[in-house]
Amino acid sequence: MSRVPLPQMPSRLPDLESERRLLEIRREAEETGAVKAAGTVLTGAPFPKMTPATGYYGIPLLKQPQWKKEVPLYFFVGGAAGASAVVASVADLLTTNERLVTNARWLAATGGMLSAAFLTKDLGVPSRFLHMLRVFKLQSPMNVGAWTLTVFSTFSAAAAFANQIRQELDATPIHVIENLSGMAAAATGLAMASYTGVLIGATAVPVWNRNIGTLPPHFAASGMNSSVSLLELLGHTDSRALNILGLASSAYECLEGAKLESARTRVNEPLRRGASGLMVRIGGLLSGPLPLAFRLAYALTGKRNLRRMAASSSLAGSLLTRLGWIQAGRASANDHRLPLELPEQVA
Amino acid sequence: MLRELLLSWPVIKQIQTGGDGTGPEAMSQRTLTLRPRTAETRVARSICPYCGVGCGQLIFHKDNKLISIEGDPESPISRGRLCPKGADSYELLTHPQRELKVKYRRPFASDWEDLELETAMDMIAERVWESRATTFVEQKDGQTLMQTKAIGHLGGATLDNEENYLIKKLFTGGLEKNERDGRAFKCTFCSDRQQAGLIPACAKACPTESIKFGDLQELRSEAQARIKELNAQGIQDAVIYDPLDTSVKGIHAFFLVRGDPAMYNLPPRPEVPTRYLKKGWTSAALAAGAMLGATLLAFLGEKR
Repeated sequence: MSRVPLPQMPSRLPDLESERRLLEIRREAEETGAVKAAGTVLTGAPFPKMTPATGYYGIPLLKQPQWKKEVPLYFFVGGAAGASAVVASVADLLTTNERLVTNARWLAATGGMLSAAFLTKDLGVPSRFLHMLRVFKLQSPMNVGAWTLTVFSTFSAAAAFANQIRQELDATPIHVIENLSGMAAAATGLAMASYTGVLIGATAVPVWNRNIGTLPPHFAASGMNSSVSLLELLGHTDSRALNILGLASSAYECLEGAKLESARTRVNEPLRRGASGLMVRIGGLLSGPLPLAFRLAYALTGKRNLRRMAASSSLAGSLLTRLGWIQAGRASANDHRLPLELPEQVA
Repeated sequence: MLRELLLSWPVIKQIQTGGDGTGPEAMSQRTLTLRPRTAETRVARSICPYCGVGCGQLIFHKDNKLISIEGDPESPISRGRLCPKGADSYELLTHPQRELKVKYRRPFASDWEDLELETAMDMIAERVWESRATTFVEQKDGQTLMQTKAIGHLGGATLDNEENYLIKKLFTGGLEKNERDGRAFKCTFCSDRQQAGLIPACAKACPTESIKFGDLQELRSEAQARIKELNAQGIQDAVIYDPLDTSVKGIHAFFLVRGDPAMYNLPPRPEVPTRYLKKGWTSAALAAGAMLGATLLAFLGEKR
């Protein structure tokens, strides 16, 4: 039985020569927009550049944060409410200023309820808030935050109502309920004011992620600043302690601002440039140097209007700071060069 | 006249050129002027629309008409090859029997009618949603079930990749099909096949050998061998993207790409976002402590 030899089939593997020719065709097309030598004409040239300098056609690597206005508002309201709970319990413990305690307790309670409302609105479907409480996950700042908010809003409301009842009916059990609830609210209030910094710091957005160490005290100081300011606007312009707290938090905000301005890193660029930069900078000015100056002037002259001005400025600054940081996150996520470690674009 | 006729006779040419009768002298005028159908066409680079491998295709076209679709030899993924389905993409687009309208047969009707795509999509969505809403069983005998038995799909061995993909995605992922425990799996690495000593079907079926299954270290050395092969062919910019020395500790896949991986939005050092979590909580605890301390100090000075 004779075997018929199989014909030699040309290999389908591209050889070096054809690879080279294709590279040439491509290069010529990229440069001139047409190919003259070959029998085929490349269309679509000049091609969009996909080079190490531009990344993947300049398409952002990260997705932008999808949060709407509710989340920065929650950061602002939750921070002020948390700090108010601390002020309420400490004032109750160390002073006899009943009106201050009552106002601070109600600020905390109202803020806690508003916070829950904002967060529920952000989730879209109310039952999702309950789903967040199915488990406790220490590794998830969002879950820790949901639990904190739940405990905080419950106990701050309990403390406020107990305080109200106590004014009608002075009995020991009511005292105990108010004090215990107040302390629980103060303890979780400390977390309410600071955890939001960890929350955004634990995301892939570079400007938040790299600032995870500075964000919690920044937000905590901002929360204390707005709590003091709200209490002053409610008429507590005679409390020396509130002015000291206002001075301290404004001074910290000055430090924070100076730090952000001096650390000219690329990752912090959204905090200086564009709309987000403007918001963060004006927010810093309104909650740092400006109220600090007003409060120092009050300490010298004793004019209470100066404190009201400091308070209004601080409140606006605190809100703007939160909005600015969220906006900065959007800008940061949009910059594909940062995670790809590409050189800065030459303007 | 006679001279021209004589000269067109191949044997005359053969005598003139001294060929063996199988060379150009044997060719007719028509054969001599034959050109490939891709000649004088324009070319666009594209990616095969079928599976997730993404083999390179060259789309040849002329006067806004498709002429041919071929494998792209420059693609580092497929090296000019296409599987039978990819190689027939031309027919996929140009076949006269290709359906361009959605066909619908009403209940008890004997004929098909055409539907607008939008209408059909709405009808399908409505029916799926309604069936799921009315028949979904969450609990049975005190056990979590999460299933519906009201949606089915009739298929056979001739289903193509796309249909299988849809069934897999919609019926397991989107509609919670698993009848025993309600869990959804997108890919089990073909655990049934593996138990029988076979490799996963996708890796087995991939004609371009782009989907591979095996020992990770072996696959890594295979990739290294491929880099060497490409280097020998003069392609010096081929690299393997496989970040291991970062907090993500590998991305559960690695890619062979040409040029800087950043060109494909692959970051050189991907990190898990929670890597600074401890630092964040420490800082939050310090902030909380400072806040409490400051408040205590401030109110200590307050007149009682």
